[in-house]
Parts: sequence; structure tokens; C-alpha cells
Amino acid sequence: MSDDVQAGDLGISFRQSRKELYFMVASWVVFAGWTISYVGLKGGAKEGEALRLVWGMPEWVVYGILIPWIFGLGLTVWFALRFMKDTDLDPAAYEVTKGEEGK
Amino acid sequence: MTALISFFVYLALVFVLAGIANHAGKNKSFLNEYFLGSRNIGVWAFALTYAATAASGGSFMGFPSLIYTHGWSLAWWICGYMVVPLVALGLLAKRINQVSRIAGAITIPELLRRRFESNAVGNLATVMVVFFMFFFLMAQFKAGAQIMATLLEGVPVYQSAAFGLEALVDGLPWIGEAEGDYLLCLIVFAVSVIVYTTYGGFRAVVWTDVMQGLVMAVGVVIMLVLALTQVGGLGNATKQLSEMTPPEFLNVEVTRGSEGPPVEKQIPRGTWLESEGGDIIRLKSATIIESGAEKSESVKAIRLTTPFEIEKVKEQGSVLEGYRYNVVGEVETYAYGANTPGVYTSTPGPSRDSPSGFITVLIAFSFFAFWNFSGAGQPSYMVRQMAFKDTLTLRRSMVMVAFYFALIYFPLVIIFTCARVLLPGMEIYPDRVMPEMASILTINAGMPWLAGLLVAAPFAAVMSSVDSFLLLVSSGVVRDIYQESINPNANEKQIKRLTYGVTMVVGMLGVVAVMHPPQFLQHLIVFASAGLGACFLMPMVFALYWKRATASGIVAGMLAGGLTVLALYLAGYLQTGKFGEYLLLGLHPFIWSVVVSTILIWLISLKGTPPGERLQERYFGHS
Repeated sequence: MSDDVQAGDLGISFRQSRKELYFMVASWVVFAGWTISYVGLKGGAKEGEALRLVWGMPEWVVYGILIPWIFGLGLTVWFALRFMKDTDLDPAAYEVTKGEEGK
Repeated sequence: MTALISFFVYLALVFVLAGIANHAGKNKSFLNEYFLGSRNIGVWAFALTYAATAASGGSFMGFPSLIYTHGWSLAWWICGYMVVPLVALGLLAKRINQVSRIAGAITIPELLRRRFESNAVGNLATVMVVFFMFFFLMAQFKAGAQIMATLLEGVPVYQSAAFGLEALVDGLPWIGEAEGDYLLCLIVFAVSVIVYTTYGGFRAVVWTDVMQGLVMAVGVVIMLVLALTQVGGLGNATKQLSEMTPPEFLNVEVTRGSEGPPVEKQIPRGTWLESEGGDIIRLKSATIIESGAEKSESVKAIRLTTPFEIEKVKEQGSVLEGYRYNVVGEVETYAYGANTPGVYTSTPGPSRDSPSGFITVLIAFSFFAFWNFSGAGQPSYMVRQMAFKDTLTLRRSMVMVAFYFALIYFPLVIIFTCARVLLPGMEIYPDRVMPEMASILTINAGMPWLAGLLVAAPFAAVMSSVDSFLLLVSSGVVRDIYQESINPNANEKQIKRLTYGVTMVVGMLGVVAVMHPPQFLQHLIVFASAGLGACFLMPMVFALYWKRATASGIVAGMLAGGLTVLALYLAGYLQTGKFGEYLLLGLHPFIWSVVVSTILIWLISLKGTPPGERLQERYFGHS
């Protein structure tokens, strides 16, 4: 476990988890906004307009889906390896009574 | 035959892993080991079991059939997966693991029961898990049987066995209408999964998931390379797709041509026929022209409408010589996209039923939310989030799952848009496009043995989902009903026997339920996901992040979520006469269930007495 493991205070651990939750929900809003609005505007076929291909795919697929997907991948890596904090999951660290596990 | 051998080698490996898992679990607390792998799951195992469970039969059977039917618009439908690892794992994983350890819970209903110290919450959660999970099991069993049937097609021993079985069950209630090949494959598939799941428990499921996850990834990569090579590059495939128009649906009578002798003629499903005018149709089911008769009974078919597809079928020599057809009754065209080139390369995509096309902006939004939040709300994923050993495992797994989903879902869209070019007329049985594609790609590449591995990919997806669902349902019955409410003092031997028994019985009930095969595989999967997400997502979010939440609020939210989904599916059935959802204001039932559930949990919790300080401190600390 890394050096910044949170132990000893369940409250701190809970607040950190909540902070991560807010970040994650905000990210979802950004990516949903990007793909839904871009493809909604550009994905439909216009009469008389030739199909535009980028990398063999319709243009709207690349700019509305593939590129945000690559950004999403990058954000997930950054979130998991940088933003998210390690927490000691052992209940003993918080001085709570452990349940009757595996009774 | 070589494909069959490589496929059975894969199956044998699954059993070996289950055996090793069973051995590894000895001398540990039975329930904790059997249902949770002793909470000691590492990075590879956690990431791949999570991803493999997510990539179910729907991903490898239903999803390809949708891509084939609706074209590139499916990229929009599935694109929510770009942030699924971030959202679905980031939303609950760390807290659910922590809270389940504090509560000493090994199942989801148990976690909720202890978090709120309420039997009502735990019992309701158990009922909801068992109810909705059963629909999942049904869909996966059907998918497994279908894949196997495609693989075994043409094997003489199998065909005689299937014929014998069909004769045996003919006339029996419920199963009498099922085709022999489906029934035989269903039994073989189900027995294999039930046996290794029962024997090995959670650890076997996780280990086999790891292997199955790798098989899926390798299968997709190989298929991608073969598909792109055989269509002459993605650009070429997309250009051809942009010229295609959807087929028409009709009923036909097959007639003898001038040369046909008046003897009995059996005409199999999938046969191509040409009309006097040069039109091409494909039969949706088998038919027969009796001896002395001039024509068959009326049978369903599709008619191609794209000129170069018609030419391609003729050039391949696939048309049955010496026979023609008469159209009977009306010809049905697509409600959106009929005779419209470009419909497969743009949104909303062609639709047979909906005049507004396959995917509108609101449906795209619904699915972007659905894949992320309904995914987070699935008990089968939640229970995995209770099993990882530390947060470092979680963080690394998120990265792995993100790459894994990117490697699976986007390439699947590419592969099955290519399938439209390589396999015309698959609208007659779109759910079989995946195994058919595997077969055609490997035959064209001169490597038929590889079909076994490629077909093993969707088979692995189905297996890894079935085993997880089986365990979830049996843990609900054993831990949450028997041990909590019937016999709290049961000893380990009794629990062990009951667990094995329940896992087998639940599996067998699932098999009996699908012996009369359900018609809509993907609809069934989406319904079960929506139902489970509706029942568990918001109750779990509130349970983990809001200390003011009360048991009454959670019960209300869980019931309201589940009932909203059920009501909107019932409305959908009443509207169309088919199993499917009603899109109130254009939004999927899951979205409405989340709204209703959130409001009820919040209002009822605020109106009730706040939970005691001891309970709050136990799960939230001094915050």
C-alpha cells in the first residue's frame, strides 16, 4: 500500500470518497454533453451531402465518439493513478466492531 | 471439426480451473470463500472478472445483431462505455468494499440489511435480486445454446442426437415446441456451467472469468484483423454500407420451376431464391413442397433491396436453382430508412418499427446514463467490488478495465459493420451473426480451426455471466433467506450442502424456463439490467454516502425503482403487443426509475426519524 494510505479516521476516508464521487459525476456530465450534442448535431445525413470519411469511419463517429473515448481513457488513467487516494479498508483501522463475517 | 476440437479444449480448461479453485478454497471459512473468494482478489483477477461479467451474451450476441441491423448508429448507442470504468467503479467500489467489511457482509442484501439494521430492507433486496436476476439467467442460457448450435451445425452425430431429442419431446407441454438442436445445446451448455460453478464457487468463477476475459479480447482482435482484411479496409466497408438500403419483409410460397420433378423437396432455413424478375429473397424458416404439390405453405422471408448485394448473392452461386417463389399478402418495409441510401452510416439509423429511426438524441442520452449508472447498480458487479483486497488493486483495475472495454466495444462496432458487407441477408436470424461471422472469416482465411477460438469468445462471455448470476441468486437464497430468517444456527456442513443444492436447483430452473426459448434476447438483458439498476443503484448510493438515509426511505426507493421499470415495460407491451419498453417522453424506463427512486428515498428519509448516532458513526466516522 502506498505512503498516502488513509487510516485511523473513517470520516476523512468517507469525505475523500465523496470528493471522488463528485469528480466522477462531473466527468460523466462533460462526456455525455460532448457525445450527445456533437453526434446529435452532426450525425444525421443531410440530403445531397456526400459521406465524409475520417480513418475509414463516418466523420461524426471520429469526432463525436472515438476522440472523446480516447480522452475518457486518459482521464480514467489519471483519476485512478493520481486523483484517487488509497484507503485502509480494514475495519480494525477505524476501531469499529467488525460484523459476524462468514458466520 | 477442428473448430470443435479447439472449442472443447477451451471447455476442458474451464473445468480444470474450477477444480484448482475448489482445492484452493479448502480450509477457509466456507461462505466467505464460496461467495466472496475470502476478499483477497488481486488486480488481474478483479479487473478481468469485472470486465468479463459486464461483457455478457448481450455484448457478443445481441449487440452484434443490433450493429448488423442498424449500422454505425450503434457507436452512439454504446459510447457510454467510454467512461464506464471511471463511473461504475468510481461511484461505489471503494465505499462498498469498506462498508461491507465494517458490516461483515458477504452479499448485497446482507450489506443493506446490516447498514440499516433492518430485515425489511434485506428481505426486499433478496427478492429483487432473485426476481430480476432470473431474467438474466434465461437470456444467457439462450445465448449459450445458440452459440453452441451454430458451432455444431453440420456435425453428423450432433444432428442425429438433436433429431432424436426433438422426436422425444415432441408433444410435451412447454418444451415440445423447441427445436431439437437448441434443446440439446441448452442442456449441454447449462450442465457444464452449473457443474463448475457449483463445484468451485466464487474463486472458480473469478479464475474462469480471467481466462474467459482474455479469450474475449484475443477473439475480438483476431476478428477485427480478419474482417478488415476481407472487406478491403474500413473505408471500403463504410462506403459500401453507405449505398445499402434495408431489406423488405414478406411471406412467400416456394414453387417448383419448370424443371423440378414432383417429388418431396425439403428447403432449409436460410435458402436464397430468385424471382422471375430477378429479385432475391432469403427464407426465414425451413419449408417443404410435398410430393405431387406445386408449392409450399406460406413462409416468412426477407427481400434484398440493394443492387450490389443482389448481384453478389447471384455471383456466389448461393441461389437455389430450379425453384421460384410467389409473394403472399403485403410486403412490409422499414418504418424509417426504407429505400434510403446512407441510412446505415448516419443517425438515427434504420428501424423496422419506429418512424423516428433507431436512436434519437433522448435515447442516446438514456443509454449513456444506462450503461454507466445501471452498470454501477448491478448486484453482480457490486459483489465483485466487495471482494478486492485493497484500494491499490481497485485503482490499477480501473485502468485495466478502461483499456479492456475500449478494446472490446469499439472494435465490435467496426467488425459488425463489416459483417453487413460480408454476410448479406442475416436479418433472418440476426442473433446468430456473431458465430456466422466467426465461421465465414476463418473459412475465408483458410483457418477453420480458428473458428473454435472465436466462437469461444462469446461463449466465454455468456459463461462468465451465467456463473456470476448463479452464485448471486444462490447466495441470496442461502445467506439472506435460509441463514438470516430460517436457521441462523446452521453449521458449516449444512450450509455447504444447501449451497451446492441451491446453485444446482436455480440453474436447472433457469434451463426449464428457457426450454421454450424467449424471443428477444437483447430486450430481456436490457430489462433485467434496468430492473436491477432501478432497485439497487440509488438505494446503494444513499446507503454509502448519506448518513441521514433511513430504512423506510430505502425500502420505498427500491420498490418504486423496480415497479417503475415493470410498469413502463408493461405499458410498452400494451402499446406494441411485444416485449419491450415504453419510452415516456422519449426516455428509457431506467432514467425514470432513478428519478422516482431518488425523490422517494430523499423525502421519506427526511420525514422519518434520523438513524441513531451509533449507526452513523459506525459507517461514516466523525464526519
